[in-house]
Amino acid sequence: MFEKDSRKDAKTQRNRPEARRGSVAGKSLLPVLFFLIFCAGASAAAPADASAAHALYDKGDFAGARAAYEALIQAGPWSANLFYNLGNAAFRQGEKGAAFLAYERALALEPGHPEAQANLRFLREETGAKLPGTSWVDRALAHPAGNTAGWLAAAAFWGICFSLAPLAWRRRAAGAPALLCALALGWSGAAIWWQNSQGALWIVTAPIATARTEPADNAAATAKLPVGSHVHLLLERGAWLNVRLPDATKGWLARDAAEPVRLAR
Amino acid sequence: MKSLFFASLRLCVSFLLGAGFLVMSGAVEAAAPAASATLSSSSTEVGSPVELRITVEGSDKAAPPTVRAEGLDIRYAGTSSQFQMNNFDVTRSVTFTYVVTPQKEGTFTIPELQIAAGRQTLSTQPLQLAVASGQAGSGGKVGATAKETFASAEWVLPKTAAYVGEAVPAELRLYVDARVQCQLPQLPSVAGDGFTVQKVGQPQQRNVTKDGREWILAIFKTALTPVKAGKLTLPAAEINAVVVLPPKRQRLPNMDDFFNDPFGAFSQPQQAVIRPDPVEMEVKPLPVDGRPKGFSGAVGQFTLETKAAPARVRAGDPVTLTCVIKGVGNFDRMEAPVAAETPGWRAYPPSGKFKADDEAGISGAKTFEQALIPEASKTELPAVTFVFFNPSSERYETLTGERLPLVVDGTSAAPAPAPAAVASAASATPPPPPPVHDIQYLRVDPGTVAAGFDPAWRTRGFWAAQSLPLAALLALGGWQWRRTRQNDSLLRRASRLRQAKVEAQRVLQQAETNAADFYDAAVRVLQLETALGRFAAGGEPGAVDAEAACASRPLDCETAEGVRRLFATHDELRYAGVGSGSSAPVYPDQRERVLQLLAQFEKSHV
Repeated sequence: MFEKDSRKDAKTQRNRPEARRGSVAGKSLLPVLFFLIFCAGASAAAPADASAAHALYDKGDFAGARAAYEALIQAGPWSANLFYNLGNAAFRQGEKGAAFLAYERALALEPGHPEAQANLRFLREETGAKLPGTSWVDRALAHPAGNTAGWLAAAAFWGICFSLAPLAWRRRAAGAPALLCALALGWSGAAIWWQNSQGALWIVTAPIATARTEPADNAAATAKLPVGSHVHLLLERGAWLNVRLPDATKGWLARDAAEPVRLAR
Repeated sequence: MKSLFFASLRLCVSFLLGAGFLVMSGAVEAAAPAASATLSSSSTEVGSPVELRITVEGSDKAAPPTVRAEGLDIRYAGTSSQFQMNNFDVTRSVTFTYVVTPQKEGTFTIPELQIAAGRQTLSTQPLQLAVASGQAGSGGKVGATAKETFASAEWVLPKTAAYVGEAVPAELRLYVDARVQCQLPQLPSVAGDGFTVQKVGQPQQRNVTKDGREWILAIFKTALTPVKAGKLTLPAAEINAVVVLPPKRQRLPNMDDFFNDPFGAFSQPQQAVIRPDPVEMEVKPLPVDGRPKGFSGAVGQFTLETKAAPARVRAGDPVTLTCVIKGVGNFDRMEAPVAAETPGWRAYPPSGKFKADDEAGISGAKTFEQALIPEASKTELPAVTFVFFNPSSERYETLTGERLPLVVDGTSAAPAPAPAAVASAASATPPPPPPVHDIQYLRVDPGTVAAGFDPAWRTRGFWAAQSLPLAALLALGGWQWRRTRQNDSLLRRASRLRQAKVEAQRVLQQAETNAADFYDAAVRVLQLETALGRFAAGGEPGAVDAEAACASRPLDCETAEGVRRLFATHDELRYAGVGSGSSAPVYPDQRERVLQLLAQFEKSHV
């Protein structure tokens, strides 16, 4: 009889408010997620005022506007809008390679930038830029991109920790959140691995770039890449780049025919 | 045959010589004779001679005239002839030189002279000579020691009456004696109240003859704009110059100019300040009556041209409206033409650029460029108007720009067709315009600052941020460990209380239990039950009395009264001593009532 009462008491204890608090360790996951998301979106400095450059663009002084945007980018801080506007100015000047590069950089900073996506679509239709074929695995691992994958992985990891922490003090773990976080961690981790394994993304900025079998001008040409085409850098050797071409083959491109998307400060 | 050849040659040579003679003689005859008289200086001092030169051009047959003038001793000094031929243009001239020595102070006139040149009689212009006795003349002076006018300045205006804001071209003319070496280290300074002055430009120079003297004339062009009404004096001007004056010595009229060179080695450069005489201008205010709305202060005569590019845009893309205002007036006070209507348009401030056609900067074209962004469907750009005051017609005039057509694509609302167009379109619907493909417009919002292109997990900030959830996890673990320890002690106490309660209930069930032990066990059950109900608050069960037991839970009156009686019976049996019935057995009905009371007490627990 005593044992029975004792088990009932244990249930009663768990249902009491003060005791129930102990079982909600998994709910601490939310603040952690909010914190990490805040960290991901936190900015150290205010965006630069580009109104003067906008005014030059509106007046049709695209060269002046482009120079102004480049000066702002040089001075920092960076924002996707700055690169996007730079791309517009370059496009208005007729420099599609520079426009492609600026739009790609805007997307690298903010993968969901709608105007940069739209303008890239427009330019690719115009130039026939070649992109690597994507399977559903590629598409799945290409998202989340960049910083989002890192922060998502961190949030998922801490989510798992907080969800399973009650097990340490003999409480019931938050199983569903832990499972969800484990899936997110696996996805984001795989995305990070996949994105790193692809090599740095470069954009063809020359009107037509010729990929060759060897790093020599007289080597056989393997492909002609229109401006805006994507290549992934495998090796850099002098004035030549060994790249993975959009058709997944390898080739050599002249160094001045392409530019890396990622900029170093 | 040979003789025929030489005869032909002679004929040709004769023809050529004759033609040349005719050309030369014709040229000589074409230049009409003229006479002029000049003085080497129009001012001098008593006893200081000057040179009078009478030049007859186009004839070498003139005779020197006799020259007489009151107060002047004029003596003939000689004659020189000149012959020049330039591309069959032959010029002949003869110059008669006289030495003029003033006899007294004053202004003397050398009268018009009649010179017989062949069959013609030529006349010279009268000359004036100012003779001083040692006092300085008017005009430019060098320091305090100069005694001769060597330079002068004057304002030259096309009009002496103007409106407020009207740009009046002005010339500041500087005359410098040709014998004086003069340098201007800086441009004239012009400043004065009531006028704005355009920047004075570089001067134009030429030689002129004035009052019988050779002068170097420098013309500084500018524009004066009165800013208030009334009778205003033109701004004071100062021309700073460095001059080298001729040495004060007697001229030698009979000697060549080489020996009379006024700029000898002994001349010294000196600073000089030349100021023009003040000039007044009547300035009228702009009329208030009839002043149109939108007048921004432009005064002059202007024309307006407008153009726009591109003629087809997407909604949200800019159209550059260019307004060119040409004419003469005060361009510096001119503001951009204003759009007649602006709803549906987002306009940026216009920028102006002026290109002058003259040195004074009052004639030219000012180009205003304004970016207009259609925010809705539009078929034409807003018309612009420009208002100015025309001082010639003395009234305000309004120029209206052309309504420029525009096609705006990408709007949800289609442009409303004109009624006439609707009627005509009933029979034939025009094909829709082809879709315009273009890039999206700028993102003018600043956007979110990005840390960089490196993945977040490669940055220090990322790993530093992980310390916070780690700290939170550790804090949560510590807090839970502390709570668990506290809960364990409470549970152990509750277990002890329950154990004691079970022991007491076992006593209540025993039939041989006497009344004292029975009631003692019953009260013990009540106390333990009360203590279990508030075990988290602590406290010993023995300290629970009847009132505390009743207050621990909601009891009906009968149960509460039963609890009080139970405690009272217990106290009576325990503390009343031997003979109080404490060793008496407990009757079944009595036991039943107590057990029911205890059951009721337990049920009432919340």
